[in-house]
Amino acid sequence: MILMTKFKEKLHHGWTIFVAEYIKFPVYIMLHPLKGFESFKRDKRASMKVSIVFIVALVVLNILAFQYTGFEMNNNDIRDLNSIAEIIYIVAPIILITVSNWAVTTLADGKGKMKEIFMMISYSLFPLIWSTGIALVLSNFLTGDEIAFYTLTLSLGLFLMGYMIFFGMISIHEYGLVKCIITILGTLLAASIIIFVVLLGYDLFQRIYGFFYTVYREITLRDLI
Amino acid sequence: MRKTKILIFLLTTIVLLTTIQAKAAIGYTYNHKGEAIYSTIGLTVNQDPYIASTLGINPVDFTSPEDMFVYKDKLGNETIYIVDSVSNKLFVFDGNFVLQDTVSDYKLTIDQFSLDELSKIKSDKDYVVARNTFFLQNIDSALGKAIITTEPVTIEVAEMRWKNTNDSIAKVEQVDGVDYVIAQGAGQTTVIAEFYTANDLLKETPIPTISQTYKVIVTDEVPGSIIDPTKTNGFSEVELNNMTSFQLKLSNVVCVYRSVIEKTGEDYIYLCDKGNNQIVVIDAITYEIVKFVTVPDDISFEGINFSPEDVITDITGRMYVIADNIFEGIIQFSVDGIFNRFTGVNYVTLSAWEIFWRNISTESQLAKQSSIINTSFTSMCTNSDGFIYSTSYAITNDDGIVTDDNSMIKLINTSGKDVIRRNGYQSPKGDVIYIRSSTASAVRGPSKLSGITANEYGIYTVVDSKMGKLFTYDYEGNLLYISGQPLYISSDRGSQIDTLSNPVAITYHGEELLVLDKNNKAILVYENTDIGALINQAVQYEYVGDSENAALVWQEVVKQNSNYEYAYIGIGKMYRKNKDYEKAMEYFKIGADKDAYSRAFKLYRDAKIRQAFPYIAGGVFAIVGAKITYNLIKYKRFRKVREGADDSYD
Repeated sequence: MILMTKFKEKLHHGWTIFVAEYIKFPVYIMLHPLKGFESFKRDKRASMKVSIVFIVALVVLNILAFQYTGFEMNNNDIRDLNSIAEIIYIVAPIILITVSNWAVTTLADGKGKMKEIFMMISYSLFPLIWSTGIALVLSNFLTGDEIAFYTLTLSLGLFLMGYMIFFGMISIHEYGLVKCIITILGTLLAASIIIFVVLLGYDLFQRIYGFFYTVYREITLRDLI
Repeated sequence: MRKTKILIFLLTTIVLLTTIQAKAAIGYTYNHKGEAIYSTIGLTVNQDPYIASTLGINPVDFTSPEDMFVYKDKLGNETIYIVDSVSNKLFVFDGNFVLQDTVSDYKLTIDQFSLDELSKIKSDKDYVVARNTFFLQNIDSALGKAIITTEPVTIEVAEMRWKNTNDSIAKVEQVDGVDYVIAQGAGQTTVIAEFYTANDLLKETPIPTISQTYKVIVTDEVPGSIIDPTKTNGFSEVELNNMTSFQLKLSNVVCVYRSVIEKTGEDYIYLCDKGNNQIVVIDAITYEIVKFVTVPDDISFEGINFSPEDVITDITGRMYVIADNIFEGIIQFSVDGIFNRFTGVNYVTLSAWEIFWRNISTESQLAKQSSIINTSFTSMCTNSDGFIYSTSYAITNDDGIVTDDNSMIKLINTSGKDVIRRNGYQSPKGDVIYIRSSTASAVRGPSKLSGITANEYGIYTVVDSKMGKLFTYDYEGNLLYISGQPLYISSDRGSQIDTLSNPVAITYHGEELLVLDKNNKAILVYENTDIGALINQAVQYEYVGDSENAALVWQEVVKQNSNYEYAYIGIGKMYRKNKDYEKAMEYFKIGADKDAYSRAFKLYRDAKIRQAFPYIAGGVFAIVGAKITYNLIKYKRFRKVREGADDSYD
């Protein structure tokens, strides 16, 4: 009996923490972005655990949306579903933005650490996660004429995500408005440079691999004769 | 012994079952995603093609058949016309391909035409009215006139000068001391010869004794070559005055068409006389020439060699002509052959982005950019409403890369607008998937549609001369079936009896489809396969609005070919009509018709809500009622307590 109450208490406690960490705090940040991110950074209220869970949730929701979005809104063929690709589509841009933003803001007196930037972006996924989920459910009850509600939900999520990231940048790096905008542009530039370098490296690697492979084939074929 | 027998029997059965496979009809179609999938063909060749010997024609006269037309009169009697562009003969058959007539010369009665009209007409590549010859034999200055012959001779005058009115068409030059008229470009101009005697030249402003104007017409001469004065074999004006009629000879006849002008009842055959740059209209019964359409007197046609490729008319007798090198559209002529306008124009559209770039680019940048070239039409036919179905090549840019392949098939209404329906999974355009760039030009690029024909219930078929395929669509633009043998190897093209090598004309003949193949010199008779006939029947039912009978036929189609996606939409429509929305949704989903699915889903959802509403409303009422009663009881109790308290205070 005592165990039971203890378990109940524990469960209740866990639930309270879950609501506070995973819902209330992100909502608070969304509604009061400057104050929210302030406590996010100063009071170290953000946790890595929550960030990872948010990213995983978005990946899972995206995979679910691929298959279960209503027929009218769904342009995907289930045969094209590739969960690895879905993971990469979400994780890769986050890492790319994190790294490039860190690279730019370190030079521009940004106060944010890379971990904070990463967590800030993950927390900013919160509205997108909810809008994806709601849109997924909604799409199964809407007809083609009401498709606007579906797109509205999705675009609202995207907009709020952008809004949160923007204010997150201001708070985390302790920037003014203009500097924030400039660093965002710099981040995009850095991201494209990273992409370019990665592609260049990939191409180079392929060439080197091709060269050694040809050498290897040449040797093996000659030796065999 | 018995056991071995059973064993042998079993073994043979297994071997037969596993090794012998029924050869399925080879065919493909495109699914809703535009992927090629296996499917059944809708048209097949079941009989030997008609060739010259079976048609009763001398094979020498049937070396290059160009066009075929099936004319149906009001009583339903059919006449089939075929033209050959080398022998320039018109073969007339009845509905069963029995030769009725062979026409090679067409009687032209001179009284019916004015001299001006006659001077524009050509016969066997030459003008009917002989050109003025422009070489001078000698000058007899005493007589004051020049004797004109066809022999180039030096001139015995003190001095002569030539004047050209248009250097871009012809000019006079000296070659080995003899004056010749040298061709420069197609057109009509005049050359003036001025002859001065020694006396003339003494004056301050010399006036020539004789000034002779010669008409020079340049047609197909190579620029820079001498115009041969003997070339013309026309009649002189005097000769024409003494004749009542002569036989006109056509050259390179590429199109035949027959129709009756409803208002006047005039029954004419129209022939595209490409080699003579004219359209010849002849009487359908007597084959006598009635009228001509020559190059229009309009600025759009200046310097262009008018080469009509295809002609059709509407019910009022207006002519619609496709011509080589004319990119503006289909040329519309009035009943009398006067140029009206261009219709069905192939618009090249630029996106806002392209317009922006073109605005800020410099001249030299624009010159380096690949321009987008409009394409000309390839064939036409009329439907039962008198609208024109037309085909054209895809619009490409300079590099041969296709920029728009969706408007290759058009239905042009009387005001010149494209009103074809493109409600299918893809817009009608022949092959959806094709090799976009490769070195083998034989297989590259979109379909080259060379013929189109429509039947009375909106089904139209186009023929692709690149792959030898027939694509059949319904009036909504749904791809019904693809027929014809696949031609993957170019050297193998048309070697089989039922493959198409160079289809040039295609026409419905009852339920059959006739295809005229120029390389094979044959007419292939395509008949509907079982499933093809079923599909046609279903489309016919849908055309008249009988969706229930159509659905029954579609069910039969699905039984025979479960890959046939479009049929599921037809079945779904029946279920929707019977208010079985859930089933309708299921079928629309298989048929990938989002609009129809959405409509069915809306009805389904509304029905469900209507069904559930009493319970929901009841539930809400019950809860609200319970709450109110609960409150009332609570209030009463509270009042009682309060009253009691009040009492205690007293």
